[in-house]
Amino acid sequence: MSLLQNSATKNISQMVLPQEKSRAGSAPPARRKPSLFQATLFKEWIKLRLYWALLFAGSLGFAAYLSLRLRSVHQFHDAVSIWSAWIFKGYLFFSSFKFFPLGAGVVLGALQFLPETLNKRVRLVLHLPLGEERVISHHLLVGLLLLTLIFLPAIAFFAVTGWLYFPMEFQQNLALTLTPWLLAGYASYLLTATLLLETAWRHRIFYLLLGGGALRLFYLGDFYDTYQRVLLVFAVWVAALFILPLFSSYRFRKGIIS
Amino acid sequence: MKIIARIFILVTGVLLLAHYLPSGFWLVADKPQRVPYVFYSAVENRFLFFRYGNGEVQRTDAAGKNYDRDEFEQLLPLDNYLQLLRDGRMPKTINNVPIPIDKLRVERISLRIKPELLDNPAVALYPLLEAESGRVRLEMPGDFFRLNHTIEFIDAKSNRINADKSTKFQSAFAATRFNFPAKIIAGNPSTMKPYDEGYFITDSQGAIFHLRQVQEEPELKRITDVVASGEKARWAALKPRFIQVQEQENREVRAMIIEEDGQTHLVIGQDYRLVTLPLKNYDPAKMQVGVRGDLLNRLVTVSSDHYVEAMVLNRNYDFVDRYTETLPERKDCAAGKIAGVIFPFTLDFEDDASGFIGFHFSPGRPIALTVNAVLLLPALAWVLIRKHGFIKRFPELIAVALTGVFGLAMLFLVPKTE
Amino acid sequence: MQMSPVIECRNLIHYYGTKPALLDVSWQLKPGRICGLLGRNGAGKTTTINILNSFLTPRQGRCLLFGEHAHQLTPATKSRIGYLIEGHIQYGFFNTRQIERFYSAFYEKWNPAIFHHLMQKLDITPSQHISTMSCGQRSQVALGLILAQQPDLIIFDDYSMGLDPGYRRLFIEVIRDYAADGKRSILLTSHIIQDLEGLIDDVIIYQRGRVLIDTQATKLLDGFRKYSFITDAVFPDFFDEARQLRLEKGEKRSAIYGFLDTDSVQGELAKRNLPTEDIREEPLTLEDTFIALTGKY
Repeated sequence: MSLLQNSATKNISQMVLPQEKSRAGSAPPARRKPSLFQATLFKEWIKLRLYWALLFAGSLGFAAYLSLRLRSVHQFHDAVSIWSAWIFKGYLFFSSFKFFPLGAGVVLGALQFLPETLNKRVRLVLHLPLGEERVISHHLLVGLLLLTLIFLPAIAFFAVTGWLYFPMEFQQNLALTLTPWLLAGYASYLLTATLLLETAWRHRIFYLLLGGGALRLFYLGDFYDTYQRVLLVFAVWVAALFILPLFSSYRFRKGIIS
Repeated sequence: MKIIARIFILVTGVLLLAHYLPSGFWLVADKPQRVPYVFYSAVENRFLFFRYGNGEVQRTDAAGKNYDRDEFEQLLPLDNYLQLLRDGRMPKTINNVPIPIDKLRVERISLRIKPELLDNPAVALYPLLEAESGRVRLEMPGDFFRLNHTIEFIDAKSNRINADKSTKFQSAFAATRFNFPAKIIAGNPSTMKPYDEGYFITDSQGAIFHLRQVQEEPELKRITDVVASGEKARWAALKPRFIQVQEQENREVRAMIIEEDGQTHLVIGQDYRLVTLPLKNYDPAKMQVGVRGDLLNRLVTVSSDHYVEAMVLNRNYDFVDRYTETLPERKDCAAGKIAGVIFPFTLDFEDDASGFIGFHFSPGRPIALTVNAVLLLPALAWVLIRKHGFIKRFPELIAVALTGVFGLAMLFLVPKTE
Repeated sequence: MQMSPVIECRNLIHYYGTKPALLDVSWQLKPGRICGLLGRNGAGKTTTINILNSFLTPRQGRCLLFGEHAHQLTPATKSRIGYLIEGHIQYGFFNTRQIERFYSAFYEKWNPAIFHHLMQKLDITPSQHISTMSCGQRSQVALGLILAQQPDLIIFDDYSMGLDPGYRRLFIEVIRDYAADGKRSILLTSHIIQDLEGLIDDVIIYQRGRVLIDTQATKLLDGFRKYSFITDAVFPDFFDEARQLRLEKGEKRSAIYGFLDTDSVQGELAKRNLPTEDIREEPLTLEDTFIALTGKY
């Protein structure tokens, strides 16, 4: 008797799970199927959960450190000079956090897409019975979601610290100064995904230069609030970046290697 | 999807090239040009200059004659009194006006407003110093005030509103019929100054007020209430755009006011006397204005990177003399002409006139459009040789026609989809 | 009964740069058949598989799966096709339970029983991580996932890579079982040709970018024969590609291969003026046939 046959079946298509067999006569219970997006979320979570936890802890720890440092400065120095340093010299207690979102975006993008693209493994994902755009979009949405969760503790810490130590005029300032850095983080994630999904080295270098040139524009100047007037345009551009990884994977699928 | 992606890459690439290529070009090509630094010699009643070029400074006059350092300094005794006193060359009188040595330092004033001061990010919280504490040095207060629909003092240590102090000041504001919210709040939040003038504040109706804290009590004056009748109308007619408060040791100039139409005034003395500066070509957004004063004169200079205007006023602020000079603009020099031809437009994000990031497009020369058309030829040739198909490459070819060299670079770089 | 082909390749032409890979290749896979796609390295098999997988667009020609273009498959059609990729690359971070749960979301006809049954038989526990499994175990996981999907068409691209004889035999048996109801179509490529003997219904042999043989396996095995003989004449080995005839000079016995029978072989040898003695038919395996047709070097 062959491997797949058991006494009751002739063909494996007729196989049922053991517990389902005992309820012969009644229809087998429908197993709750996850949605397609949930399935991708599940896969990416299993893949990334350890690294994500490290990034999350890093974000939390960094923000906590900066907040506690402010607290100790506040206790031992006069508060007016802290306020003055912020308002007139642009010394922000959270300014060291500047490049963390960018770094997190690159790292998460690499951790998410390197396993898919090394050894041409993205084939696995593109064989799923879904349009390619949908598959890659799901992966990107999961990545963006995880990235947001990494940023949240830092934002929360800064918001609470700001609220405790400074009046509301500073909160707006804090938000407007932090936003370009967060946007740079999302942009760097999408650009990393694009770079990794791209097959030709020539174009990888092109995206590297394009991305580098664009990301530098998120860090012009050292003062607070300078991006107030262009923030919306920058945000729209970052949102539109979503299309680039889809473009790269489309080229991969078409086998366009030049 | 692929068309949208290609256009997105195209637009992004073109804009980035329009920013970085000209920057790179100017990094290599820029010969910094500095407008001359203008002096006025009270000794000979004429203008003298520092002229910059080739990394060195020349001391000249309007006729072009060069001076050595000693000669030059002798002609400008009030600017170089320290050196001249040391050398024993300091004159006792200038044009029969006696020069008391002990007054030389105190009577020197200097103030300057650069364009970007007019448009800068700020936090709307202000420290109000105690103007007459009886102590030699000024001290920072423990709180900051905000002025929107009312005045509130927030204690910095506790981050709470100081209710008593706030109420006290609110009464003062009510007494002067101040119309909230304030539009301009101008002051110097520093202790590194000889005394404290407090804040000049405009209300929603455009009326100007002067706020100080004197022995912990608010002193708020509506200026039109306290000036002489001759000045009232002038103050009432002011439409201030920017006010810079001055605390110079001689307590003469108290503020400089720039109006929305560019008219500039100084506020002089206890009586808030308004002195209008009759400048010819002052554009606050593009030029900086400065006042340098000594025992005898006031020298008001307006300058940009290709224009300088220097106006001399005497101690009564009567007009004495004026000098103007225009240098070639960067875009008209040789490198500028080349840039104007190659780059159909330039994108800058930072601007001398503002502390905010913005999109600043500057066009090239009209001939750049012809250059674009010329660049279409190698573009079409490339598409032909590589057999891409003109229809398929249409967006990139449009980019070449519109943006010239930027579009051409993108034609080679945008990844293909077939 | 549906007679339109499950896979149809029409006039495929492809170059890598200027190097030719496929030169006008056409063939079909009929429903319910198991087809072996054979060829030496560089003959064009991988290129064809990549086109079928929609990872390559041919310069000219097209591939249709269930009547749809390979690079424009609708999700519904994709769910009817299972792919086993060379090297059995899978997500190492999953364990068995998780990987089944993941893939089950994507397929309507998913039957977890098949997967679990196979895992059970092979003593693979649900919490075992893919990355810790041996090559053979991973190949079985991959196979189980495909079968659970219950596809109408399976494309096996070099399933044999890295598998020992035991696992290879297991593979063959499972495939045979799966296709037993006659409703499944299977395309296989493999370098281990002896495995395929007795399994495949149809055989296609590629040679330097072209289709050399496209016929039923039985017809090939019955029709293509080897006759050995003794001769004193000295002659060079030669191969007539058009007539699929090969002549080999041996130390003791020489051989002639081709679609011959006892009558025609005499004629062929006579045509070449070869004095021969002791002409005997020799048995040929599928592998021998393949090598005779495609050469040793």
